Amino acid sequence: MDQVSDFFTGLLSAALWPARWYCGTWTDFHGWLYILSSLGICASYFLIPISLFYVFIKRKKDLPFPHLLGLFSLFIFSCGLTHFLDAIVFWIPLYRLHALLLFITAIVSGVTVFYLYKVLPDALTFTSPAQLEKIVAQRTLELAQKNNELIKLNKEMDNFVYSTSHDLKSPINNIAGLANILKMELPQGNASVDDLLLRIESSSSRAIDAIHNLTGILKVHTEPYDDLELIHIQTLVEEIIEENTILVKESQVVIRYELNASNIFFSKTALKSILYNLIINGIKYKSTDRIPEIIVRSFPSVDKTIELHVADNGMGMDLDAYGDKVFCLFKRFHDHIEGSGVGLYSVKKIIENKGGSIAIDSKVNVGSTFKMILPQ
Amino acid sequence: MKRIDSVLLVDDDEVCNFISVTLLKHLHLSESIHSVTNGNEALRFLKENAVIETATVFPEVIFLDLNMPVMDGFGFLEQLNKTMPAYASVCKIFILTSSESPLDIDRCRRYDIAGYISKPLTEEKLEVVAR
Repeated sequence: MDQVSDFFTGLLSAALWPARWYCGTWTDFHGWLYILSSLGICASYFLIPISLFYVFIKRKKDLPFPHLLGLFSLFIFSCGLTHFLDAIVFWIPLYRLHALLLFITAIVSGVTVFYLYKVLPDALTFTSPAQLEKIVAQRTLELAQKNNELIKLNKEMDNFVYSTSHDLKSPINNIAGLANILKMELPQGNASVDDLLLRIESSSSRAIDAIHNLTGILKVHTEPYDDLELIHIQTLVEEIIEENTILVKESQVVIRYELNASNIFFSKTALKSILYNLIINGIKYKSTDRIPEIIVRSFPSVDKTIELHVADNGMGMDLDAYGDKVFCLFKRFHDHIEGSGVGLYSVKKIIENKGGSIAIDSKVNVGSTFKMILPQ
Repeated sequence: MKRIDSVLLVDDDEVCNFISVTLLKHLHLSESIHSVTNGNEALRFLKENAVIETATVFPEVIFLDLNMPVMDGFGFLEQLNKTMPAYASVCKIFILTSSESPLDIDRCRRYDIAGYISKPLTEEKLEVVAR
C-alpha cells in the first residue's frame, strides 16, 4: 500500500530516474527516430477523435453505434497521450504518469472491446450505403410501378363513374319525361294521381341531383382547370346569371359590382364553378324578408394575387356553431332548402388546388361574405 | 306557342325520342316529326328529304343529342357546318342532352346553335324553342 500511495503522491516526480536520453546508449538517429515517430503517432491519434467528433456533430441523428464511436475516440486519444509521454520521457522522465496513462488506456480499450463484442451482431447486419442505395432504388421502382397502377385504376374508376352516371341519368330523365307525359294524358283533377305523379317527379329529380353531385365531386378532383386566360370578372358573372335565368328572375336578386380589379388571369372553368356556387348559394339561401342582393367585389392585385369577395344578404350561418364544417362535404345547415352539401366543398377544393384560400364571414339573418385570395 | 313546320329528333335513346314526339304532338306544335338515332343517319335524312338550302323542306328545328354511337352530336355539327355553313339561317338546332359537362357546353359554343336543353323535354322548355 505504501507503494501505491507513494506512486500517486509522487505522480509527477521526475527525480527518480535519469531522462531516457541518458539511460543506455542512444544514438541521435535512434533517439530522434523514436521521438519523432511517437510524436507523429500522437498527432494522428489526437486528430482522429477530433475528426470523429466532427462527424458525430454533423450527423448526430443517423450515425450508427454512437456509443462505440465515443469509446473508440477516447481509446485513440488516450493511446495518443501515452505516445506523447513516451517522447517526453527522453527529457523529463515522468514514468509514473506514463504508467498511469497506460493503465487508463488499458481500461478504455478493454471497455471498447467489450462494447464492440456486444454490438458485433448488429454491426454484421448493418447495411452499407451502397446496399442502402440499391434497396432505395428498388423500392423507388416498386413505388413508381404501384403509383402507375394506382393512376391507371383511378382513371378507370373516374371513367366508370362518368359512364355509369351517364347511363343512370338517361333512364331517370326518361322516367321524369314519361311522368310528365302521363300527367298530360290523364284527366285533370284526380288528387291522388296528381300526388303520385308529383312524388315520381320529385324522386327522379332527386336521383338526377345525386348523380350530378357525384360527377361534380369527381370533377373537382380530376379536372385540371388549365384553361388559363384573362377573365373579365363582370362578364363571367353575367354569363352565369344568363345561364340561370329562371332562378335569377324568380328570386328578383340584385347583383352589384364593386370591382377594383376588373380582370383576373385564372382558369375560366374553375372561376366559373366557384362564382356559380357562391352566387347560386346566395340566391338559394336568401332571407325571406328582403330582396336578395349579391355584391361581387374585387381588390387591386397584391403580390400577383387578387382578393375576390362574394357577399350576400341572405340567411347567414352561425359560424360559432358550424364554423369549421362550412366547407365540409355533405354538410348542410339549412334543412328546408334543397341542397347537397357539395357546393362549398367543391369551391374550397378548387381554390386550394389552385394555391389560393377562402374564408367566410357570416352573421345569422344578415348575410355571408366569402373572401377568396386567388393566385394569378 | 308558335307552331313548328317540321322537327328532326337525333337521339339513340328511343324512349327519349318517344317522349319528345308525344309531347310535341300533344301540344300540337308540329305535324311533321321525324327521329333518327345518330349523327350519320341525321345527315342522310337531310340529304334525302331536304333540298339543301330550301327552308320549306329543311326541318325547322333539330333536337340533337351529344352522346350517340356511330356519329355523335359534335360529328354531326362538324359535317353540317362543312357542307352547309349557313345552316343556322334555315334551321334552329337545340342540343338536347343529359350531359352537364362544362366541356361539352363549351364545345357547343363553337357552332351556331339555338340553345342547350337538359333532358327531358318539357312544356316549359318547349316554350323557349317555339318562340
